[in-house]
Amino acid sequence: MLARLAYPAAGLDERLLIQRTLDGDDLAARELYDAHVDRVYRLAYRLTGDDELARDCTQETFIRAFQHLGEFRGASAFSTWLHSIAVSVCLNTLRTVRRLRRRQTDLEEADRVGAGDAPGIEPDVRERLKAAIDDLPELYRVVLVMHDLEGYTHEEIGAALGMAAGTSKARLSRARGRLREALARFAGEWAR
Amino acid sequence: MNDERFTELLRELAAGYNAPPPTPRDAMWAVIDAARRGRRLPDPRAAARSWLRPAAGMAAVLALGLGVGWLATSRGDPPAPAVARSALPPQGEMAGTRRDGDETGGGRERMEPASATLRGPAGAAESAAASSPAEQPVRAPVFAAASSGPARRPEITVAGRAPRPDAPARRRGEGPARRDAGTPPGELDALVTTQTLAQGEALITAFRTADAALAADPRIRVWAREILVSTRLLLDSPVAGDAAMRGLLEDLELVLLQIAHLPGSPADSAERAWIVETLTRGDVLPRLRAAVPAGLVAAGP
Repeated sequence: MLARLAYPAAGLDERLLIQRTLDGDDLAARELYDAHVDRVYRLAYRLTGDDELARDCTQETFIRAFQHLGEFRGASAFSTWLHSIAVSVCLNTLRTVRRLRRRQTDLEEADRVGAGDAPGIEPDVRERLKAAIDDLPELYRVVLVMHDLEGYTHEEIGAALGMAAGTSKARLSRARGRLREALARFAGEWAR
Repeated sequence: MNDERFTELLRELAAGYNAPPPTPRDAMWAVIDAARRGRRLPDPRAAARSWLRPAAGMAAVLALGLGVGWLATSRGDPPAPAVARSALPPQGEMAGTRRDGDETGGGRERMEPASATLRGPAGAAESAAASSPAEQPVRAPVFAAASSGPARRPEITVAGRAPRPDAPARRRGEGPARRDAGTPPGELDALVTTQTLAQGEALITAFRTADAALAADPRIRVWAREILVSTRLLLDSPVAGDAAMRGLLEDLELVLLQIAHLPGSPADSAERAWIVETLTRGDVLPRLRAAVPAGLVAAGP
């Protein structure tokens, strides 16, 4: 609460917050965290599908960010820099831990979560689409999740993943193509 | 399905695909803030670790003692070197005999210690002829021997040790004497380093191959803490001057820290996964195996 009073979220000057954080201002650090944590956590959760892993990734992202904050030169937006760390941490976690697929095969959980969130889509199609997204190659899935589910622009995705925006578009197109194939085989006439 | 419909389907699905719960801001901030303070502020656990310094010192002394003992036995030196007493020198000033006091008598005579051979007349003449320090026989640490009369003691030199041209004879009061002039300065450090790395390799191998229940065994954490003491000492030693070794020790320390703080719950596989990730990312185990000579067996706690 104190942090919010001291640094109102609207119009906050991130450069000032960063400098104050570097100077040891705990309130500034908290405000910087509050301004970005939701998006980082959401992305981490979307990619991992696991609250524990998402927390770990988010914490690791901010710990690294604060650790290397002095190296941030402001050449890009702070959020871009932060999300490049987040994506790196999440991908590293997914490659190593490999818990995502085990968690995501829990169809009962998928039914329970999805039933109230996406009305109008048949459960089987939803499950199949979910499984198809899970089966996408990692970088296709990341681009799809970031763009179609979390609303990142191709420029943001490119900056976070270290590739051109055009590459991001191409991967998104391929990801959608694969999902379309998966749905076509499963949903029959509905998907055609 | 056209693109528009498909995009619409994806958007509808967006709410259900790994739908994030409310962000646990405060819980995560507590961890992040603790990590920040751990680096920036004085470590609150320092008091709890205050016992670690004397313990580390004792461990270092013990390790050095073990190392010295190991070196002594591995070199095959006889514990009580034989002294040839067949040829006592004739009367007269013995070559190499030194006195602290009056040269004419009544002074304190210095005599070389054990592991020596007596020098006969030939040796005395040889020593008298030798004028440069490089030609002097290597002397082990000298000790004073009380003598009531003129020096009549033979010079005793270290047997079986080749003199080193760059190793002047040490005398009492000239600084600490080496146990063995032929021992390279870093040999003992290398020995302790090897032992520590071997212990680390054994622990990590045991940890990786253990199931969740065994990995959560408190003895694993105790073992990790014990090795941590050595790695921290080594990081403050000349061994850490080598960049590659320092990197390996730091990576090993990180893994040991993670294991030492591993929660006791066997179900906490995420923590174990992080440790495995650290191991994998840093190639810690292969580097340890490369650094530890083959055949060296490390014992556990």
